[in-house]
Amino acid sequence: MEKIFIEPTRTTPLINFDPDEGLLEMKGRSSPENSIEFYQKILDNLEEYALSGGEQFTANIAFEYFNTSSSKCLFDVFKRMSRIEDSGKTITINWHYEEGDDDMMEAGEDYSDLLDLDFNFTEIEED
Amino acid sequence: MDYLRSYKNIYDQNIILMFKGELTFDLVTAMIGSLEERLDEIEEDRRVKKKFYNVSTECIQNLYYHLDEVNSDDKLISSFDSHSALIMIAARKRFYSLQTGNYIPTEKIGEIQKRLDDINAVSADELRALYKKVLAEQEFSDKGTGGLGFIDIARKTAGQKLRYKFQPVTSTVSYFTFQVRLPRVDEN
Repeated sequence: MEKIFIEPTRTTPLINFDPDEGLLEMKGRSSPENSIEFYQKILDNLEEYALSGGEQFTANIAFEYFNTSSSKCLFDVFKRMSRIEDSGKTITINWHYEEGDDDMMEAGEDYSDLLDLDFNFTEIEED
Repeated sequence: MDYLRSYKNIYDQNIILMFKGELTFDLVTAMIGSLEERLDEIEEDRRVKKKFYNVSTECIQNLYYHLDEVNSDDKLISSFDSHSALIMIAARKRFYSLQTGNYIPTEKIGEIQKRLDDINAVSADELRALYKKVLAEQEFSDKGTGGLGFIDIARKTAGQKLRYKFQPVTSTVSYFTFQVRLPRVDEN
């Protein structure tokens, strides 16, 4: 496992994965040209975390927007988190969305429902 | 030449973005960036602005991924046009409209039309269920697309049907026009 830090761009989110802390942060917008390529490293590391990571894992997610291709990749990201949980670890998923953004809230609900994961939903106030 | 007169029609119809040509990913990103700036100026409702930004990004990226499917025809379609997209975004008083046009292989019409008709036939709740089903079950295509684009666009423009038209151009190629509308005022 390796630390991953990716600065956000217009089409890719901020990514901060710290295996020592058991932390994954994803924040911003996601509409990269190749979503599969962009998310692959995160998927691989989460896979490994399920096998050899610490007992606690926290994901802080705050997307402003993601396209449908990223949406499929995020489904795989959460699937890996569900595996981390299945391996006996404690997992916390915080899903932040902008005040009034029902679409983003529903997106979180959909992942939570499909993968049987508990999400903590938090509205963030507008700037 | 009275250029202003020929452009006047465009200005009068509140068109905020118009484009014809081949697309690169950087161009798509720049176009969406410029659309966003324009929306910041003209749209006060934050939610409408966000929804339209989302729908436009999905539509234009979708178009970008599918522009390489038609080959040129010497007589009717130039090699430039065969890979060209047409994009027109208008801000009307009551709704935003995004219209796209591109050449597609005629053999693909059946599949696209079925998907659009299926989406137009269902309620908002059923649309959400359909989205979740595709999200969980469908594999990525060779192009890295997930089959969710149209469903997502329909979810975000709830209550508005996806409008489309297919017109034959040659024996193997057709022209596909697609239009979405997003209401600017809350109609509930």
